[in-house]
Amino acid sequence: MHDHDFEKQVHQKMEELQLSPSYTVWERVEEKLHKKKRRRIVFWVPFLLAGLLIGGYYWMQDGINTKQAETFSTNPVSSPAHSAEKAPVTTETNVGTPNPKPSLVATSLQPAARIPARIKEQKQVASAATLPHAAPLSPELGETNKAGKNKGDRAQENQPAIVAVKTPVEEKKSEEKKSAATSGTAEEETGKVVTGAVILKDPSAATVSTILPLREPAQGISASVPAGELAARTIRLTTKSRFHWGINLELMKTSVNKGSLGKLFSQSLAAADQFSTPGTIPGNVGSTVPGPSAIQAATGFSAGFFLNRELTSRLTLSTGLNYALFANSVMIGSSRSSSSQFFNSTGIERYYLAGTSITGSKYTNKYHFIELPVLLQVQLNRGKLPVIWEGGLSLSRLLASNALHYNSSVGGYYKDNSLITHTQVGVLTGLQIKAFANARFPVLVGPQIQIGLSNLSAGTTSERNHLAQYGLQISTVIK
Amino acid sequence: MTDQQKLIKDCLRGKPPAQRQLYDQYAGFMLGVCYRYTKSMEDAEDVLQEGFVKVFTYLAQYKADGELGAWIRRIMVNTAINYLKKHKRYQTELLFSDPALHPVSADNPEVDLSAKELAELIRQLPPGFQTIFNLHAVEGYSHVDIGKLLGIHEGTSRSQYARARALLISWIKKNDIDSKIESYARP
Repeated sequence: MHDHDFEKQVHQKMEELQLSPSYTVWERVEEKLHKKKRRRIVFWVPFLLAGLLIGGYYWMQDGINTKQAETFSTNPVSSPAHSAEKAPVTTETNVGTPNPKPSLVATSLQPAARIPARIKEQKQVASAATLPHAAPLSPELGETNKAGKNKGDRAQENQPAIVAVKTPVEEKKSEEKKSAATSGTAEEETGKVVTGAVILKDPSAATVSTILPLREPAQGISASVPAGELAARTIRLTTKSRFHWGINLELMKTSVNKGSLGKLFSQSLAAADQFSTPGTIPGNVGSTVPGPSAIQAATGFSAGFFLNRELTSRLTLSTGLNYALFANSVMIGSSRSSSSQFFNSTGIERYYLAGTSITGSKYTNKYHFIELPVLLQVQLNRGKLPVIWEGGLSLSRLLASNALHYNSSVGGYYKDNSLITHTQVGVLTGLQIKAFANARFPVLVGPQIQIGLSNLSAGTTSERNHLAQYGLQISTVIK
Repeated sequence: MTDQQKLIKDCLRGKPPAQRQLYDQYAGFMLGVCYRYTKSMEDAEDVLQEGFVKVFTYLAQYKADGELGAWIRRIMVNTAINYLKKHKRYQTELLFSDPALHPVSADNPEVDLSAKELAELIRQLPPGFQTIFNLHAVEGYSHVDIGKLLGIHEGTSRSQYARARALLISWIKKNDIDSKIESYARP
């Protein structure tokens, strides 16, 4: 026998070995794989949400900035608001033909991507073409310009320069205030100088600031200021966004209203369905069955997020998405298997007898909705605690419900979601007090009331029932 | 595209039926592998389960040029070794002794046992012997590789193997004699 024959035999024998694993092995493998997959998803969800939020924020900001830049650049310097009134040195600027292709370069302070280049080019050329006067804020630069090009010009072409533009009237004013400017107050009056650029504050739009860096020459502008120093302007807008979003939570008492507001949340409200009168058991003449139990209001809540768009300083349009739980309760008796013709025809197997407060037990009808409110908010006052009135419509869609419906012919409650109108329109109104209005996360608290316009009961019934709720809403503006 | 390539592709897409099919295809043989390294069926199934989770997790790393069965087998062996390292009941001190003191005998008896019987004998070896015997005689690992895998000296692997082999052969011979006696004793 050869060497290693034993090993060969063992190897061969072991290759033949096959065993049957128990079924639980695969179940465990499957479970672990499923868990891993879920963990991967859970791991990515926060990143995805964060990405969406950040992306959405920048997209929104970019849109707003573009719009603001357009507005600002259309008439950027004709208003005294945009002039550097207390510039230490003024220089004359003659306007020639507009620069067909001015080149724009962002400074270190101003990422060029924040404002679309096309808009910057067009609007800044337009503004340059209408500039009657321009004044460099840097005394050194102004002197250099007066003297014409010198050896520093080339070097300065690619440096951001501090330039403000002026109208003739402003120029006169600036002469008067020259001393103040040279004494160091110019910075405060005209804007904040930051690393070779100036931010011009616009009093007419208090939140708008601009940075005017210079880099390359603009054709068509001949002035004592070298064209190269004046042409390119990048506008930085630190505009307060008109869009805000936040989260809201409302704790509420919810019930079913049978029409008039006066009966809203009444303790003695009868069962809110089409079978509201006591009846008799079929075939049992004279045997009455209990009537429907009174519907009691129950606690519900809604939670979600909102998006606000400021229309004016006092008027805001608000929308959002909420999950809402509406609830009410009824008293039910013991459970019965359905033998009556009515239940057999509907395929319902069990029902509950109507109960009383003594004999019955409490059953909570729950309605889960996804809700889309559209509201108009009006700020009633200014000050530290602004009061906001809001009113609007709410469109909601039923996600699920366990609500019971009463049938007088058998005196019982049963579940049938086809008897509920799945899409509901409601009207809502409320007041909110804005606390910490100037804080990073202002909080709004106040009461809100909502009445359903749609009939809750679907089908052929003539009965009109509406969902109704009142509660306390608390919300906070995230951004 | 072959059936196996399609099966792998579907497994990579996370399709449960494909995963189940791959499992059914290899589970029997792989349980045999796991069984040889462990002392109980429960442990063998634990290793099998862990091994298949790894197979499905790292299937993307499988290169189609090799045989899938061999790739899965390597995973099972590595999983089994890790399992043995993790559980105290399998940890025995592998003492280094001079391989010269335990030369591999030239004895090469005929193995007339069934696969299951032989596997049972291998499982009766002390854990250290069992692992080294399996790795060298069945999987074909060199003693250098075994040393690296188990974190022992190559010489230790050699001497332990020689002793495991001798022990197993003696059991096989005894088993052979016993079975012969049994057959003679029958009327």
